[in-house]
Formats: sequence, structure tokens, C-alpha cells
Amino acid sequence: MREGGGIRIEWGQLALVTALAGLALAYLIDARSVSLSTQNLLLLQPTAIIVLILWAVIAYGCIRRGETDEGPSKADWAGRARVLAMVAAFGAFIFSLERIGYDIAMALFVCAGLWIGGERRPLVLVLFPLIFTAAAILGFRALVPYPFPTTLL
Amino acid sequence: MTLRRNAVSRRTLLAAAGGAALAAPATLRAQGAYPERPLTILVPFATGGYNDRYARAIAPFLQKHFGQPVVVQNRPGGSTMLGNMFYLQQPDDGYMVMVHSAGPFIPLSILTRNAQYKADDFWMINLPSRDSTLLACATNKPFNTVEEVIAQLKRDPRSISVGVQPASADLVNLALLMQGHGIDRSRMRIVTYDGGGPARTATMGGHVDVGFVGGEGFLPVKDRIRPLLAFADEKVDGFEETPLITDHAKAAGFADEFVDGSQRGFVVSKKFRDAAPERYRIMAQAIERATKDPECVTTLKGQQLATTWYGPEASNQAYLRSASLMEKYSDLLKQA
Amino acid sequence: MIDLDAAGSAVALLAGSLDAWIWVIPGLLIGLVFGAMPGISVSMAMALVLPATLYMEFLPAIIFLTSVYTGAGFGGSVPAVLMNIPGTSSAVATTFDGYPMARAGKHNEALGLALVASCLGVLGSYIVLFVLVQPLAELVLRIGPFEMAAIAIWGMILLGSLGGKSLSRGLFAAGIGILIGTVGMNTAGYLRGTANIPELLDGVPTIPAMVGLLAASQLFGLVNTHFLVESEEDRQISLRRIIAGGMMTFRHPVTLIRGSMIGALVGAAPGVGSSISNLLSYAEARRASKDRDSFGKGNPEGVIASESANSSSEGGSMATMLALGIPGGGATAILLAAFAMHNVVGGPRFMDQNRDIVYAIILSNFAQAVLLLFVGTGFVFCASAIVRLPLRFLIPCVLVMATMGSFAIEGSIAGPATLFVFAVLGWLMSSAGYPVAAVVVGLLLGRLIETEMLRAWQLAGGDPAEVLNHPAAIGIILLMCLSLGVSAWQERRRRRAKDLIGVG
Repeated sequence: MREGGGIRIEWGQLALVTALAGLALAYLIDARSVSLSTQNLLLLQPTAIIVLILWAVIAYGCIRRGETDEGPSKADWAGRARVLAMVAAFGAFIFSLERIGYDIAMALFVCAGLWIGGERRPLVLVLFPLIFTAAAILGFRALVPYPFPTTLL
Repeated sequence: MTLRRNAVSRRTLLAAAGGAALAAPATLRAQGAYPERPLTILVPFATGGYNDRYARAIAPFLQKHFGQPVVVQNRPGGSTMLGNMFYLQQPDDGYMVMVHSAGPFIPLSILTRNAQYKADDFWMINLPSRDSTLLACATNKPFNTVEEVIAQLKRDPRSISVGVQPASADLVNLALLMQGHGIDRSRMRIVTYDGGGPARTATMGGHVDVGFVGGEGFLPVKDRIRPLLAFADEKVDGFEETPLITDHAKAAGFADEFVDGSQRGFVVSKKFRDAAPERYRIMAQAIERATKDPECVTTLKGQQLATTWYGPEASNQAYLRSASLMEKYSDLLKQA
Repeated sequence: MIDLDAAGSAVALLAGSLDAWIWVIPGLLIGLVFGAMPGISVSMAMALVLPATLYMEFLPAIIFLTSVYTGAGFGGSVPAVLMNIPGTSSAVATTFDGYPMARAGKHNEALGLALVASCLGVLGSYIVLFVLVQPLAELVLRIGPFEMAAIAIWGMILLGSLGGKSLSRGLFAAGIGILIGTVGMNTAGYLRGTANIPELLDGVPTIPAMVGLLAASQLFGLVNTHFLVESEEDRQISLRRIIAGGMMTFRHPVTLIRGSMIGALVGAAPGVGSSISNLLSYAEARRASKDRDSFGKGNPEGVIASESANSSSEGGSMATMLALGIPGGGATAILLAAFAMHNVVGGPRFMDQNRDIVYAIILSNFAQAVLLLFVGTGFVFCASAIVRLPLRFLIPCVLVMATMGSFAIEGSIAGPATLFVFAVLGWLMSSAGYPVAAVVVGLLLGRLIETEMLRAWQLAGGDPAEVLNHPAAIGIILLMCLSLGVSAWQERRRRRAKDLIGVG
């Protein structure tokens, strides 16, 4: 975001590419600890090495890039917060499925999702999740050959 | 670690869910009105295979003799390891039984995938179906007998490509045969297939020169392959003409050890048998009656499914023998 | 090659049996509905109706199941187009252009295209099956590790740098995809990258990972949008535009025929066929096109290529099942189980002794393809109503459905957990300018390439010269080099022509 001819680092970009390359490296080390046989590393090792080389290329790009993208505006930040909230809500939903039951987790998540999407009518926020959850739970119970834990339904 | 945590969370959940919907199974357990809920047959394989077909075919008859509805549930993955772990995590209330290729899959998952259970954590009720490893080649290959294959391998181990599943009973049998003939397995061209189906297709299609794979799956395509050797001590159904490993080994002068390709049937956990002997007796009896039901016998025969009743004693003996043989030769399963 | 007597009695068999007909439309509908549910695969839909067929006669039972098969084959394309969710791995390439078309307000056209291309694909592959069932099956059986590896590498090269800001990012994404695809136990029995999680023994669950990467990450990005289709007047559902879209299919006969051929041949290869045939057909259509840059941005040809290939895989895998008794995938395994339930053993002997029944099954599938056109139009018309739903409702609901679908695959929380991890990964990568589709392609093809290359290496005993004994594989590689060379040359000429115009 800094202007001028100085060095500018896109930290987010760099972090992502480094994290992914780090995982690739860890995977390569794990695989090599299992066996050094060609039968184990035939495709894995060359691919991991290519990924690491590409990491260097991309990381270099993150540091050197001189031109400036305009930083996100205020409205953008609000938008980003909403996206993050949705990701977090989805994570919480998945995490709580087996803990509080599929039905309650589902109703809460749909309600939260509606709220994040900008729905503010109380009646809709209460009724829609309940109706949708009931339909989804009963429908999937009929379709899916596996039992899933529910608290109320 | 993950294992144990899962077990706890699942069980607390089941209890929590049961609290509302099923009115506390624990109290009912004390009263012992067994069976009073549907029985689930857990199949640790995907739909369509032998175990699945067997479970679905016998389910209506088991229902008749068990007195409660019987449902089939598939839980494939990790060469039955996921299904086995799931089963051991269930309550020992006698409402779930497995239909499983217990031998060789349970011992194999322990030996090659570091599964945390032991072979004798499982208890066989009846293993009616035995499948044997078959050495076979496509009809357009130049081999007519196992001796020709062996002779050529002895001249040059690289001259014949061999298809087999890694970490399988078939591989143990392959290794024992090569050991017996003094052929260096590490110099052979062994091609690995992750499943009996692909190994069979490769054998049939001539991608490999010969294949070591369970014989039963070959029955529908018998005309397209040439069976060379069966790893069994008595005639194999459908391949009555095929020479047996016992005779072959005797003629060649080495020990005639081999492992059963598959031993399939009803399996429960040892823990359940010990914790609820009365329920176990009722369940085993229902399975015995269903297996012997004449109507069941005709239906299963029609679908090429096995119907013999060997009972728990013989079944466990066969299973444990094969498990210990597998353990004895576990280094043969290891990769070079 | 056609046994006319048997064909005649097959017609009589179908004409004389009402039972053989009444199940077709219910079967198609069940297939469509189940196939359109994210996560519920063709084989699961068939497994669910399998018990019901126990009480039918043999022929109606098989016809019912193949109707479900046909319906579900297309059903998966509906969420692929409307929500970027590939219901099965065989609909991945449909998302590449179908979803951009939908976002641009051309959802009616895209669905019409997909439907007609699917129907023609099914029809085409069954016509091939009718004429050449035995040779087709033999040909498929010949596809060994060398040939399959060559095909998969071809697909990977053509799709490697799919979209994205830069080549390095495209390749990086594809590499990550390949690495993810190789986690678990490989075909030689080596176990790596599982971090002691038993659920990863068989590798990362493909469908939840794919849905997470492609769809869930998209949905996060849409949180600040109000409707799937931005402009109000495009948000209509129009039968006329669906049909117009369908008619568009006929303008690209080459793409259609090429897709059907690839589908019938490669799609029939046991085990992996249908998930690679749509990618390969898409890649070829993209390579052959004069307007390569418009692929991935809503080019109708991309949808045709993918749909014609994934639907014609059905006929191909039926060939190996009927003629050889080999189940190529879950769906045909269930058909074989249904055979067994009726005390029929599928395979060459069944084929020889019951040619009339085999022909009846094939003929009935002709009718199914035609009926799918009508049933499918109605279904698509109803399903596209979701573009009218505000996204604030749609996003949580679709995420819930995707979660339940991921659960349904194996009945464990591993599915939803995978979905979430890959949704976050996909969201991060796409907002950083990496082509997520390349990760998916790598994920799908990585495992295949490793498996087949490894087998080829084992067969050769480590000797590269062994490939000389596999002329078909060499043929594929030569064809690949030739086609890449031709397109590079064309590209250069085009650029030079442009430069000349610029200079002049």
C-alpha cells in the first residue's frame, strides 16, 4: 500500500504461498521418511520440487512488485468482514454438528447466514431457519442410509 | 488419540440423542427385553460387492428369525479399517453385527495400516464363504500350466509381469510360492493394483502376464482366463480342474503353507460376546436359523452366495489360523 | 455385428411389456432429483432404489435402474451450472463454463445446452453400444497402464494452467492439487501424508474437497452480492430460452461428436473413466477452439464438450459391464448386484445367451435419452427458479445442503470437515488470484497419473524402452505432441497476423 519506488511486500500473498509451499515440503519430508523407493516418490517428489521452485518465483513476485494496487476502501472492509463472518459461521456450524446435533446447528447457521446476508426481519430470521431445517433433516433422513445425531427432531 | 476422542464424543452424542428420542437405552438394557429394536448389519465395503450382496440377501431371513427389522449399512474405507473402528466404537447392546471379509482384512489392517485393534477383538459367528487366491492368465498368453510359469521365472525373474494387490493375502501367497521355488521376488516385475477388480481386469485384459487374485470374481468371465493354480487344500467351486497349491508344493518339495483369500460372514466384537452372553446367544441363534432356513438356502444359492453353517467354533479357528499365518509372514508384506 | 433376430425379439419384448415402460419416467425423475443434490452420487441414487427392484421382473428392474442412471447423470449438471457445485466428479468441467454463463444471466441457455448435449451423448453412446458392444468392450479392456497414463498426462498438460493471473500461479495450483491427490496409500501400498488420520487412508475425500474448492469458496465470495444473476431482466426463467440454448448444441457438431467419442471410450475405462473423460473432452475443445481465451468465461462449447463426454460414459461403461461383466464404477457395480438379485450372472455368457434382453436394455435406453429431453426440460425449468432467490437465503441453504451431501457420501463427519477445510483453502486461493479449477484438476488427475505411471513403471521393470511395446500409448503421445505443436503454430500465426495488422 506504500507508494513510491520503494520495496513493497504483499504480506497476505506471501503468507499464503509460503504456507502452501511449507505444507508441500512437510508432505515431501513425511513421504521420504516412509520410503525412498521410486514406487513411493515417482510422482510426488518431482511435483513437490516443482511446487517449491514455483514458490520462489511467486514469493519473489510478492516482494518486488513495484506498481501499487489501490488499497481496499472502507466499504470494501465492511464487505470483507461479512465474508469473514460467513466463513467463521460455516466453520462453527461444521464443528458443532456432532456436538449440539445436526438440527440445532443447522437452524443456528441458517439464521446466522441470513443475518450476515443483511436480513433483519425478526419473523424471517426465526421462521425460515426452522422450516428449512425441518425440511432438510427429514428429507435427508429419508435419503441417506446413515443415522446422524439430532437433538430435537 | 483422535480415535479415543471420537469414541467418547460419538457415544455421548448417541446417549444425548437417545435421551430424547429413544428414552434412555440404558434402562431398557437392564430389563433385557432383547431384541426390541431393529438390527443393523454393518458392511465395511461399498455397495455391490460380495459382502454387501450377502448381507442384503440374508437380511429378510434374519429378520424373520430375529423378530426385528434388519437394515444394511455400508461404511467403506481404508480397506475396512474405518468400518472396523466404527464398529468397535458402538455400544455392546447387540443391535449391530458385521458382515465382513474378516480374514484377511482385519489382520491385514493391523499389519499394514497400524490399526489399533487386535485380531481377537473380533469374534466370528459364521464364515460361510471362502475365496481362494487364484493364479491365472489371459487366454491369449502362452502359459498352460503353473510349471511353465515357474520355469520361465526361474530362467529370468524379469521375463513375466505379475499383477497383485499390495498388502493382501494374494501377495503372501505369491511370496510363499516364490520363496518355495527360490525365485528372487525383488527382481520380478510385480505390478500392484488397489483392489481385486482392477487386478482381475488387468489379468483378463492381458496388461500383466499372470495375476494372483481372488478366484470368485473370475467366475462370470471364466471363459476369458486360464486358471493355473488355486491356493486351497480342496477343490475350489467353479475351478474344480485347477491344480491345488498343496499338490504343487508336495511335488516341488516345499512346505505347502498358504493363506485363505477371503473368509466372509457374520462378525461381532469379542467384547459384546463377553459382556452380554445372553444377547449374543439370541443373535447367534437367529443367524444360525436364518442360514439353515431352506428358503434362505435356495435364495442364496440362486445368487451364488455361500450358505454353509460352520458355527462360531470352526469359524474362529479358521479366522485365527489365517491371522497368525499372516502375522508369521508379515515381513513378506513389507515393501522392499 | 447386429444380431437382427435378437433385435427383433428385443423389440417384441419391450412392446409386449407395459412393466418395462412405466418405470422409465419415475426412474428418470428420481435420478434427476438425487443427481442434483450435491454429494449424492449416481451410485448412491441407484443403491437407494435397489431394494425396490427386488420385487420387479428382471427386465423392468434393470430398465428402472438404468433410467435412474441416465437421470442422475444429467441431474449432476444442474447444480454445476447454477451454483458451481459439481454433484459428481464427472460434472467438474461443466462448472468451468456453465457457471460463468449462469452468472451472466444465461442460465436458461446453459441448462438447455447441457440437457441437449447430455441426451445426445447418451443416445450416441448407446447407438455405438448397439452396433459395437463386443468390439467396444474389447477396446476398453485393452486400455492398460501405459495408455491410461498417456491419456491422463495429456489431460493434465492441456488443463495445467487453467485460467488464473499468471502461469506460475496456475502451475503452483495444479501442483498443490496433484500433491493433495496423492495423499494416502498409493497403489503400491505406501502410506504417506495421512498425519495418523485413518479417514485419509484412501486419500482426501474427493467430492467434499471438490465441492469445497469450487462451490463453497464461491459462495463466500458472493456474500456481498444480492442475486446470482445481477441484472433484474436476465433473472427470468424462460422455456423459450432453454429451448433456444438446446438448439445451440447443434451448432457445434464437432465438439459434440468428439465429446461423445471420448466419453464412450475413455469414460468406459473401469474405475476412473467418467471423471477424466469430461476434463479431457473439455481440454480438447479448448485446444481446438479458435477462441481459446473465452473458455472458462462462459463459452457454450465448454458445456457441450463436458456434458457430451460425461453422459456418453454411461453407454461405454454399460458395454464393459454387459460384455465382460466388469463393473467400471459404482453405478454398474449396482447393476451387476441387481443382476445377481434376480439370479442372473452378468458377463460374456449372459450376453451370448440373452442377446435379446441385452438389446432390449439398449433399446430402452434410446427411449430414455429421448424422454430425458422432456422430463429434463421440465426439471431444469423448475430448478432454475433458484436464480430468483435472494443470495442471503441461497448461500446458507446451499452450504447446508453441501454439508449434508458431504456427510451422505460415507456417513461420517469426515466429509463435512473436508468440505470446510477445502472451502477455506479455495476461498483464500481464489482471492489471491490462483485458479482453483487447476487445484481440482490436479486433485482428480494426480492420483490417476500416479497410479497409472507407477504401474507402467512396474511393468517396464524400470526400463523406459518398454514403452516401445505399447504402440497405442506412443500413438497417444505422438498425437498429443502433434496437436500441441499445431496449436502453438496456429497461435503464432494468429499473433503474427495481428502484429501485421497493427503495423499496417
